[in-house]
Amino acid sequence: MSEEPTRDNPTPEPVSDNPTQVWYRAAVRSAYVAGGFLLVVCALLMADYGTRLTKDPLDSDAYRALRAKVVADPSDMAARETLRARDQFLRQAYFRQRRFSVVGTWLAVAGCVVLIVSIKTAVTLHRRLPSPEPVDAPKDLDTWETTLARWAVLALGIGIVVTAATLNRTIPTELASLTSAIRTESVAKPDTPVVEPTAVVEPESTWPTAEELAANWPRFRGPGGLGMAPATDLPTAWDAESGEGILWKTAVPIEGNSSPVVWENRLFLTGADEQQRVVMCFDTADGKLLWQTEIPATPESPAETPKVSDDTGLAAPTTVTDGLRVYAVFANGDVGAVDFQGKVVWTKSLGLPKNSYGHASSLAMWRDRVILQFDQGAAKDKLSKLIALDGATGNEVWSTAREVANSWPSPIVTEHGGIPQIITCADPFVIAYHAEDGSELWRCSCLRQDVGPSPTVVGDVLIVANEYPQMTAIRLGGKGDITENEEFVLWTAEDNLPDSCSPLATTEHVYILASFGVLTCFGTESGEMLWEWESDDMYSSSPTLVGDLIYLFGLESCHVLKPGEEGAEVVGQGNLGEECVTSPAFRDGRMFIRGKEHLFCIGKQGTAAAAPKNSQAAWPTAEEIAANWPRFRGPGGSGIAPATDLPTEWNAESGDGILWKTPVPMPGNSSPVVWGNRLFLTGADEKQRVVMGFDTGDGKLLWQTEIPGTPESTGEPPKVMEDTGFAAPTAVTDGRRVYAVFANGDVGAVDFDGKIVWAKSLGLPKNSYGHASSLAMWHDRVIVQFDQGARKDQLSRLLALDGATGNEVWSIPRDVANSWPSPIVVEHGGIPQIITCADPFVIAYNAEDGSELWRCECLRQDVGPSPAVAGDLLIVANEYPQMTAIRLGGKGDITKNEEFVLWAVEDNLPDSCSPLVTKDRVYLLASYGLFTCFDASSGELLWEWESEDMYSSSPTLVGDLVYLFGLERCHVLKPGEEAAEVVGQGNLGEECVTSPAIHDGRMFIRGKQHLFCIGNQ
Amino acid sequence: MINRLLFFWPLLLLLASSVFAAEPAELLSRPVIEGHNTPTNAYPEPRATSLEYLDVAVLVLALSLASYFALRRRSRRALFVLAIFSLLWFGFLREGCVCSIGAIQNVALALGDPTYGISLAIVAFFVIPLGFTLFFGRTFCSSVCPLGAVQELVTLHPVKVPTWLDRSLGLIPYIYLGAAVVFAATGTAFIICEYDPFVAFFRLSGSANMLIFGACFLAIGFYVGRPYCRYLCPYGALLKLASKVSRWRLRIPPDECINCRLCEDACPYGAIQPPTVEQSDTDRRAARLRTVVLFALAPVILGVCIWAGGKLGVPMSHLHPEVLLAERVRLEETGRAEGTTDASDAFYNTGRPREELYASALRLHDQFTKAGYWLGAWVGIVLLVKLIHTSIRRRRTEFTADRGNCVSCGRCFWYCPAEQVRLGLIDGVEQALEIRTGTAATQTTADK
Repeated sequence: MSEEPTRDNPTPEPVSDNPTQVWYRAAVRSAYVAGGFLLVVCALLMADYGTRLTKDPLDSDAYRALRAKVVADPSDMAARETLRARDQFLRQAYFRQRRFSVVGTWLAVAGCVVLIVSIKTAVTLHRRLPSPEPVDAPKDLDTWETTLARWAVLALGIGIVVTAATLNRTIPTELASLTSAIRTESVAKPDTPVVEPTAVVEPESTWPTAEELAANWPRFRGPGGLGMAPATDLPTAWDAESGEGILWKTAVPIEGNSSPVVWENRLFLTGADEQQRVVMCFDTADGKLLWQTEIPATPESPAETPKVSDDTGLAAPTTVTDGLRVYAVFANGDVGAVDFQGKVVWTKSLGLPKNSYGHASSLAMWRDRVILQFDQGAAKDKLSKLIALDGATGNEVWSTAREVANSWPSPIVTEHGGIPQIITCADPFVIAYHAEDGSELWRCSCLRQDVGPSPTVVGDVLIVANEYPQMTAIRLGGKGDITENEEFVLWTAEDNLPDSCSPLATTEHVYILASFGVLTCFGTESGEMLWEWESDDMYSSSPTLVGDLIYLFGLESCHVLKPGEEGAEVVGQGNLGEECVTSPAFRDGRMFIRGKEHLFCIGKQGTAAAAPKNSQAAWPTAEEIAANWPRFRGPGGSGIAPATDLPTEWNAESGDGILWKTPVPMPGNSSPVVWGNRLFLTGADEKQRVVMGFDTGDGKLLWQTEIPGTPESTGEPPKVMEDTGFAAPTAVTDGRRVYAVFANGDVGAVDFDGKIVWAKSLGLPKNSYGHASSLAMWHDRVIVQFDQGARKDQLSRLLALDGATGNEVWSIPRDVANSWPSPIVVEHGGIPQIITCADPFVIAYNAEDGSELWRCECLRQDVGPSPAVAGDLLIVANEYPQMTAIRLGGKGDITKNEEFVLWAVEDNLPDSCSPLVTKDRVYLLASYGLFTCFDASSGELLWEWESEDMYSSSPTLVGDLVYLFGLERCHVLKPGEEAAEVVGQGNLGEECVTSPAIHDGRMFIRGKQHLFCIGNQ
Repeated sequence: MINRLLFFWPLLLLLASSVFAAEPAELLSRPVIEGHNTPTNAYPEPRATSLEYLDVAVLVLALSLASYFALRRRSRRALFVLAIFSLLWFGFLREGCVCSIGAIQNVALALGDPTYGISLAIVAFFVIPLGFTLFFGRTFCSSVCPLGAVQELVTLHPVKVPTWLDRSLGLIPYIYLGAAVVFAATGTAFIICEYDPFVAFFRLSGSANMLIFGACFLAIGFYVGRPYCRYLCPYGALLKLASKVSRWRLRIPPDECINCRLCEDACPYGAIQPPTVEQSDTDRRAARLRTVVLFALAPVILGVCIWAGGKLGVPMSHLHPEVLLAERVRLEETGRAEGTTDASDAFYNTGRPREELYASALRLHDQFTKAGYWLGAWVGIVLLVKLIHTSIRRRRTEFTADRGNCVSCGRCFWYCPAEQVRLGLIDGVEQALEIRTGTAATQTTADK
């Protein structure tokens, strides 16, 4: 081991007798011995390893035979003992082997150590200093050795590259054929935002696709700013005074001359006065003003109000939207973005523009950038700019100075030769800019003085026009100043020039509309004037081509023209009843136009609003449920709606207080349910069972879907009482589908577009009057109380069906007779309880699995009224024997438990109307017209009110008023401490046995033949 | 006699098989015996933090001693004893884990995946040897690294590796380093640990392949000094770079070199560089031209390497279990593979949609392609530096230890007459030269 020389023998020589030689020989011999030992140990270990690898000790024939014997006759104790002994023996043998190999390993390690030490010692003892040969001249090893090394390194490098390429070829991926869609699909999945049914789903990209843009009306003059909409079934005549052709009309709270833009079911307008600048959002379905958001001034906003002409106003520029936000600019130079919920995203001020009439250029968008043409002052002032702002933040992306005077046209963005060009018109230049960086692409000097009309483009031909000096057709693709370049300046025309209406161009014709009412048609290729058409009106609104018809909105009239080769034919006229200077927006076969005071929706009855987009979640949130009327007696089945501005008087004969009235095609005693702008009813006769979907905006029957019989459906119609009918149970909806059950036991789900999702049959119920229990929902489960027969028949059940598929989640038999109340679902102590009433029990079930939580025996005979809950107070009532107040939270049978059964009363009991319960009052309505109020804590009778009518409809509390729909009349009561005061009366002109639905400040009630919408105009 | 001893090297191979005995695989199903409770699997607790710090303390102590022994005391024997201690402690006792070489991957993963928590001890194992190397040269390799130590033990009959082979194989550690970082940072595998040739010995357990692999390395190490350190070790590549700029480093003579040539073949690791001779004008011009050409070619070489790296993206991604599973599931889906594997069965049982798996695999493809470009760029840079390095001529007037390649083992001390004078073993260097040759021949290759 010693490697360092000693003083006595610095370079040991192998002289035969010296001790070094002795040590050396000993080391060599030790190495031989250790090597031999190691060899033997390794050989044995290898052999042992091989044996263990190949031989399974429990695989011997004898062992298997023994084992088979025990399996064949387990009672043979002798065989069992033998097997156990054999098993133990084999296992012990195996572990002996394992121990042998462990010991062997250590022996091998020891052998190895001895071997290495011996060799090392021998080598050290044998070590001698080298004897370098003398050299005559120093050799330059470096040159050839390093050259060779260099080439070797290079060769290795090449080898690596070749290996990489070969590996790439030889290890291909099986996933290469998968489309890129897969890459994004699952990435998007977990992030899919859960949105309200009517909200717009946020796209993944930060800007909309071309298809999305084309499907909407995102800016002034629609997609591309071209003033063209696809052919659709728009009316050619309308009259706001008679209502003909007008789907709805809404007052616009803040004035402005901006035009509407539409994205899906949202319409946006701007308005401004000296104090405020607002963006307004309307529901395209019914024109309801959804929100109105003020764009707050920034510290940079000018304090002074801009001087504007009356024709322009303070909110002339039209907004632009990308489906995520809506962007607006105002006459004082303030710009802002508002999201679709009406929240301000950003605002900024560009400074008060120096503009002779008021800033009017509308916004454009390219990708996620908002493009502002912000021209001001005279050209020499050098104040004009074209600005691109980031849509998400409002930060400036680029800004390019423009040598032009103040102007009023709106820029358009078009693509030519792969380059997105922003085209702007102003005095004196048409200038095209690269949308990426705002660099100038080309310019043409062809406009003068006050330039109003915006440019338009068809193919690669750009049309720009102004009252002075001319209209010019320019071929896109030029560079630099093309004013004098005949290759790009195709033609000019000087007749009937417009001063504010923008031109309209098709591949064949160009139309310009002069403000004094002359529409002129030119050939697109030649520039030759083809014909003129003249109106007496004045025009600021730009013409729009819808299919092959041109819509012209004059100040006071509207003309629909069919242009031909030689002239235009007037095919229709419209009247808004007020002045109009804006351009219309189109979407989904409807036209939206802003008049001086109102926003109008023009369309044929039957053009549906965009169906509400349903949430991706499996069931609606509590807020969504509370905002709708999803089941019999509304959210929670309580019959309580928040205070709203409902009329207290109405008369179907005079139309007072009635917003609309629609015949219901199929009879039924079910009540309406409402979700978003949809109202659902069920109807049935002996042959068919239908679900009907109505538009809450106008009462239009949107669809009527038959729930088909299933193979299990019974052919025979159920026997029902006339009072009950074939469609007494009210439907339930979760905002995704509407679910209905009918008297014959058929259940079905229909989606919001009227398509059947599933149908199933629960079998013909054995029911003395006809099945009438309405459906309830918990999460995504439809709860069906399906009670039938006498108690002893044991036929009654409570079922939970999966809303999406109709599959049974659970089904619990019920020890009750047939009954007619509807179950309610309440949560108490973190447990969702389904509360059911029937003869003789009130039973609460856990909604999760249908297990019974508690029961109370307090009902008898035919039970009709549904339960109602306020806080933890449950009220159940029936004509016989009593009304009972129960505290939630019991377990098992609580009939005799005074802790939970709080009080009972036996007066004025109802037989079908459900109780109305607030935290301190309980109201009962007996079918013979006695309305009674009790103290909720004690059950003490407080007062009674009597009517002469008969009642099947349950009372509904709206704010502090109780609406009681009798068979022939409706009373609106204001309940007090000691009595109720009648504050109004209504008359439907027909019998009514259903309960109303209240939604969005309106009340919907089904009469014998009609569905009524009661509300204030 | 020595040649005969060489007969024993195959025994090292056999050592491998001996360790098979300790293979932990359970060959038998558990017996079910009445009245006997079958013990359940027990998992060892993670090593206590205090013990981790003990390892760090031992590391610092060992590095300090190694630096002291190599640079101050210049004692080969002390270094050798320290190497055996390190082999026992870091190798057999700590079973090769934690080690500085593997720590590269933990650091890479921590940089690539912010959710990965890296222990301070591992960071210390990565950083401290690098720090010592910056001051004292590769003393870590000499006698602290257990992998170096085991190879040092078996370096019994070293032969000189031709310069061209030595230089070109010297590229591999850098490539291995790049690949290890890529696989670790993407969370694919710790390839350095998986392919550590000696860890199976340290643990007296391992797969047959790894034992054979390790035995091969030891067998080669008999003739070629430290094959793993020189031609594979990724941490060695980093230490080599650090050592090139180290403040102090090992010198062959304690003071002045007399160019006696006694040490010229003493280093089994090819780390002793002889003095250079004057270059002719023609050679100098050619060298200058070559360097210029190499610089001019740099963008091309770099570009080709980056391209090749990109090509490696998909093949490399196949080491990732997710990609492997996706490829298999796709084969099964398209009917190009029959039956299922355990992994695909398990996947189907989870109910996870195929598309999600594919999307995830495609994202990994992209990630690996990107990483491949970086790897290509790294290899390209290394290749270029290596090529330029071999083109630049340095002037040496004495025998010196190569700054990067010297592992500070101290084997050369014994050959140096000046060292023997320092130790007082001889009176003057002439004495050593006389003993050596018996003559007065003291011709040197380059006279001072």
